[in-house]
Amino acid sequence: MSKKNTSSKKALDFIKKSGLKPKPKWQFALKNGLFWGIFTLSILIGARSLAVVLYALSYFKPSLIGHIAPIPVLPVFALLPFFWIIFLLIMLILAMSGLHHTKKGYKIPIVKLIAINLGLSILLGLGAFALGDGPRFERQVQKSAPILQSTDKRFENFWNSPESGRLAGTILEINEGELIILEDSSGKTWTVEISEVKEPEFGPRKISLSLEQGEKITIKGEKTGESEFKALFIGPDHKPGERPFLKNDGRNHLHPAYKRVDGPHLKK
Amino acid sequence: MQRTKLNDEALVERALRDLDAFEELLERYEAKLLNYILKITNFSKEEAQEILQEAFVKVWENLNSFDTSLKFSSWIYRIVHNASISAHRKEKNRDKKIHLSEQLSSLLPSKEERIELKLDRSWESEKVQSVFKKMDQKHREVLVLKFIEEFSYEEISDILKVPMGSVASQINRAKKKFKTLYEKH
Repeated sequence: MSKKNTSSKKALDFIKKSGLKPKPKWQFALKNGLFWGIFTLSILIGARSLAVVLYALSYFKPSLIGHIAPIPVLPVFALLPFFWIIFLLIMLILAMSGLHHTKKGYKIPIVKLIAINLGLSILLGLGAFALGDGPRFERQVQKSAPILQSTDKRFENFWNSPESGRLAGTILEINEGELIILEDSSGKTWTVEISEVKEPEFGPRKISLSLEQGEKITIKGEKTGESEFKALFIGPDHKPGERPFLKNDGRNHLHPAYKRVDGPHLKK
Repeated sequence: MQRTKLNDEALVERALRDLDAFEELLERYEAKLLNYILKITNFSKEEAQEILQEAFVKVWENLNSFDTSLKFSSWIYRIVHNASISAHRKEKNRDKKIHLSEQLSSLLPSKEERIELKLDRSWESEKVQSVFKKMDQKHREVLVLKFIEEFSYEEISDILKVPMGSVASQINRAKKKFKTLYEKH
């Protein structure tokens, strides 16, 4: 093969004729930095998404699923934060891809790559959740995507469904231990019959109810009229982060809806 | 052109300022890379030369991205490998003769078969080539890099941009595949 026909000679001729120059170093540094940026951002956004997922999951407390009533599985399943779970997965994949495409990223075995990203996301996500970042991040995202329903709103809607046997609101009055007057989140007043309310149980521990005016409660039962409801189970309406045995004012005493007493009684 | 005794990495530094140094660098690898393309693809020599020419232009364009912690050979093989795969994908359905080194005989299942190969090299070579032709691109390239180009696992990892553990398992799978196909042939 004559030298003028070699690939190297032809390539060099092309380079000389076209005046092609090597790409500057900063372009490669920028590309590498971009992948590190994708990795870092995806980890941070993923961690905040995990905080939202944990916040939503912390709504799944005994008062929702366990002792109050055998709530049908489907509506409870619909309460799972699917959007955030998918968002978290996308962020994880993006983070893994970002790290993989950094200069030496290809050397990291896939199992290690998953472990690094998952570990970092969980660690930072737990931190973000503990700092109460879940609902904050949710609100921030909601500003750009108003169609997205907040976790609080989703659970509020879940309990404001008298046709499905669920009601939530604030106790306005307690009458003779038989009836309570309740105001729901839309301001509608309900007369709730409570004579057949069953006492909740936490495992072997039986807890008696003690209701007070002004308390927020959730009720499982059935709608008996336009503004009438018959309660079978009553639970506190506490948000994630608020302990069921801690009153909403933050003072360290039993939540009135779960006051441990000898028998069920109601306070006026 | 006067040849230097510089190592590849030093020559890369000089090549950024001096095209003659770049030419020397390319000439050091030209024959090896042309053979590599021919072994991992079904292209003719002329087509392989065209791919190599394009790959050399890419080498020039990306010279500043050469990571000195890598061997230059791994880096230039990676670029040529990617250019070959990309061209191969475009021509996937073309059925061309595979040019395969007899060195693949080292993969044969037993000593007896290797002896047989020595006795009738041309026939065996045809058989090996035919078996090789039936293999997936992925299996074929690791076998070429390991047994013909004789790269280390680390170098193959740098060329294919996969973790070292994956290189080892890919080679094992490729060897098994080769043996199975060879026995069936």
